Amino acid sequence: MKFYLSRAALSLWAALVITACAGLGVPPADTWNKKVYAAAATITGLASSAAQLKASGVLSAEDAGNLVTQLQTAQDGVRVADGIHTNCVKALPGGAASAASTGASDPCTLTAQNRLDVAVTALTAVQAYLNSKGAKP
Amino acid sequence: MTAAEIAALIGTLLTSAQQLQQVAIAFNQANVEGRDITDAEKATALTASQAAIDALAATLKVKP
Repeated sequence: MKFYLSRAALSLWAALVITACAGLGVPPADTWNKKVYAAAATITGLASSAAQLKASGVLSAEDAGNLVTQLQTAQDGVRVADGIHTNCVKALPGGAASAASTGASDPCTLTAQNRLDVAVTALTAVQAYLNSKGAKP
Repeated sequence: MTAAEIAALIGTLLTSAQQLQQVAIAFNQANVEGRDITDAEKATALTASQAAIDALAATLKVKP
């Protein structure tokens, strides 16, 4: 037997949850490590959401397979960007500056930012796709 | 909307909320302690994201 809930009620409930999320007040990612951490957490969330949608039959195996590829590409991109940043920090004069202590405007962040941006763009596309399938941020 | 679709939607909403909450907790904790996210915390997050991808791939029996 199928259970039906009005879309209006569901939309209201979703709006409440999304509002609650916004109320969590996530501080801005103002350092390189925070940016990478946030990107990784986003990948985790999207992969978990995709798995749930696949398990419930909302996503086809083919769609889920494509998402695996896209998420892995993004994951690899984040790791490459982080590697570029780490190597850059090590090459800085004095070399003692920890990658964790560098700010958003340090030269190494500027060097690695493009790579990270590509990964974030891919994640945004995945999020938009999942939204179209019923998931909401 | 079927029960399965509703369950999936609720699950994805909760997953998104949990991830957002995790980021908020980690950032706030670091800010309170006057430090950045550590390299170890970053590495743990990257390991978790790879594990989530692998888990999704496992449901499809494909290699990521």
